Amino acid sequence: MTEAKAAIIARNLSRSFGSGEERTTAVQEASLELRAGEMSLLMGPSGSGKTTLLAMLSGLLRPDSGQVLALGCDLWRMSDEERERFRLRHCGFIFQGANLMPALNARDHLEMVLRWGTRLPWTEVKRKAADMLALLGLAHKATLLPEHLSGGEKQRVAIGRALIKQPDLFFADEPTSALDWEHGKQVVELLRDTAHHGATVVLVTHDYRILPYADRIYRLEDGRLSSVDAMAQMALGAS
Amino acid sequence: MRRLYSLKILWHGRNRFLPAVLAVAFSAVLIAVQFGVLLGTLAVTSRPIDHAQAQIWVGIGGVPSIELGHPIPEAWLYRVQAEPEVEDVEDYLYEFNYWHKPTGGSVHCCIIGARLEDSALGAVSDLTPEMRTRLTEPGAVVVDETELDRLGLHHGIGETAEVIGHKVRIVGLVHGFKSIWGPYVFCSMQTARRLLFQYQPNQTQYLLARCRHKADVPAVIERLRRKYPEMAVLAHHDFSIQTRLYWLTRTRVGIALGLTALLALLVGLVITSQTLYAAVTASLREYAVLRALGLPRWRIGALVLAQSFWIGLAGVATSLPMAVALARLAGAIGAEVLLPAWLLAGTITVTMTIAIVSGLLALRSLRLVEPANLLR
Repeated sequence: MTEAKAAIIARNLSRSFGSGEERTTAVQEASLELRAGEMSLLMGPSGSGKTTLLAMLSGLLRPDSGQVLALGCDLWRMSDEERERFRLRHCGFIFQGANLMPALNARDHLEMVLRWGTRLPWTEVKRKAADMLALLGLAHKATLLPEHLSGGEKQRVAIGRALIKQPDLFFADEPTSALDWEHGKQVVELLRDTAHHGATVVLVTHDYRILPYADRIYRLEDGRLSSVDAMAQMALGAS
Repeated sequence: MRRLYSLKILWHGRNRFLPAVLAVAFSAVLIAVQFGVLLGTLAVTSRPIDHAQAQIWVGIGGVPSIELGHPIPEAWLYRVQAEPEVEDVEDYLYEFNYWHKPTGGSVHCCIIGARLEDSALGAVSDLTPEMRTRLTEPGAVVVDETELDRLGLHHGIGETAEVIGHKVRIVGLVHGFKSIWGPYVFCSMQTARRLLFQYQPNQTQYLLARCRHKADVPAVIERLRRKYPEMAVLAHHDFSIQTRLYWLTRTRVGIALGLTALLALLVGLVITSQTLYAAVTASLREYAVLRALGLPRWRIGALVLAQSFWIGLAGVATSLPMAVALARLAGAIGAEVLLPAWLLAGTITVTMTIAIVSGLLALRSLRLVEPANLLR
C-alpha cells in the first residue's frame, strides 16, 4: 500500500435539483479529502445524495457551489473539453450495470478504450488487453459476447475497461448491486487491489459486506456528509 | 474485421439494420432503373438520327426536335450541294400519319422515308440489304418487331394494313425502334411521298449531307448557317442531343421519372436515418460510459457514420445486380433501360451520399448521451 496523500479535495460542495417550491437539496456543503492508495466508501440511505456527490467529484455533474481539486486541478474551472481530456487521462468509472455493447466481445471493450483514448500501437493495445483479461481471470472468455458472460464476468469486463488505461482516480457506483456476493466479492477485491496499487478508489454502495475492505468511509444523510472510521462503521453495521 | 467495431455492431444487429439496407437498395434500384428508363426512352427518340449515316441535318430554322420539322423547299439541296466539301446530299421525310389496323381502329404512326442505296444517308443501318431491296417495291414498309401488336398485326412479314387509304405491306422487321409516340414505319422515299400527301413534290422535310472529309463538317455547318439563317444546320450528334433534351425538358416524362427517383431517395433517407437513430438511441447508455471514460464524442460519431457507410455499401452491392437484372427483364419485354457506367457510378455516389446523410441525421441522438445520467 502506497503512502496516502490527498488526490481529491472537495470543499463546500452543494447541489440542488428542481426550482421554486419543488427545489430539493441533494448535497449540502460537503467537504472531504480522498487519498491515493485508499478505497473510500460513500454510504447512506437512498436519496441521501451520495451518487450526486460522486458525480460532482468525478467531473460528471457541475455543483451549484464549491470546489473540487482533483490531482491538483480545479475540476469545475476547466472547460468541458479540458475536463473531458482530464477524465480520459485520469478517471475510470464503473456503474450499476456493466453497460457493455452487445455486439462487442470482452477483448473489444478493452481494446476500444486504448485505441480511441491513447496513441498506443496496435500490438501494444492487443498485449495490454490480453494482460488485463488474464488479470481479471477472463483470458479464456476474451472472444465471448456479453450475452454469453455471467453478471460477475460482465462487471469484471467493465472494470477492466475502466482500469486498462491505468486511471489515477476510480469511481464506482453500486458496483455490486446486481451481483451475488461471490461475484461481488471478486469485484470489491479487484477494486481494493487497484487502490492499494496507488489509485484513489471511491465507491458508492449500500452493501455493508464491503465494509471490511474499505480504508475510509463517508456517510451521507439528507445531503450532509460525515466521516466515519472504518472499524466503527463495521461495529455499527454489526449492531 | 477485429478492429471494425461498426461492422460488428451491424452484423450483431443485422435484423434491426436489414430494413435500412433494403431501403438503400430500393433507392439505388429505383434511381438506376428510373434514369435507365429515361435514357432508354430518350435514346429511342433520336435513334433514327443516331442510326443514319448523315453527318449534317438541314431542316426548317429553329427546329427543336426531329419530329417537329416542317416542309422545306427541296431546292435547298442545291445550297448544300454547292459547298465544295460536301460529297452527297439527299432528301428525307419524317412525318406522322394514321395507320389503319387490319383488325380495326387506327393508331398514330411515324413514317420515315429515306433513300435506300448502300451509301444512302437517311436509311437506318438496321435495314439489311435484303430489306432495302424489298422496300423499293411500292407500299413496302418495315416496322419494329415489338410494335406488331400496336399496329394490329400478328406475325408481321407479308401482312398488310392501310395508311390514309394506301395499302402498305410489311417486308421486314427491325429491333430497338419501339417508339414512345407512334410506331416507326420505315419505307422508301417514293412510298413515303405517297403516304404523306401533304408534301408537294418540290418539298422535303430534311436534307441530309455527308462531307468527303469528316473534319470539314463543322466548317461547312458554320458557313451554311451564316449564309442561310432560315435553315437549321446541325451536326448529327448535336441534333440527336437536341432531340433528346427537348423530350427531357419539354415533356413531362423526364419530370415524372425525376420526381419518382427523388421520392425513392427520400424514402431511403428517412428509413435509414430512423433506423440508425433508433439504434443509437438504444445504445445511449453504452455510449455514455465511453463518454464518461473521456473517449471523445467524435469517435462515437465516427462509429455511427461508419455504420451508415456500411449500410450504404451493402445497399448498393445488393441493388446493382437487381438493377441490371431488371434492365434485362425490361429489355426482354420491349422496354429499353440503358445503364451506362456513368449512370451506375452516379447511382453509387448518390446512394452513398444518402446513407452518409442518414448517419449525420442520426447523430442528433448523440446529443442525448449524458454520462451523468448513468449515476442514478
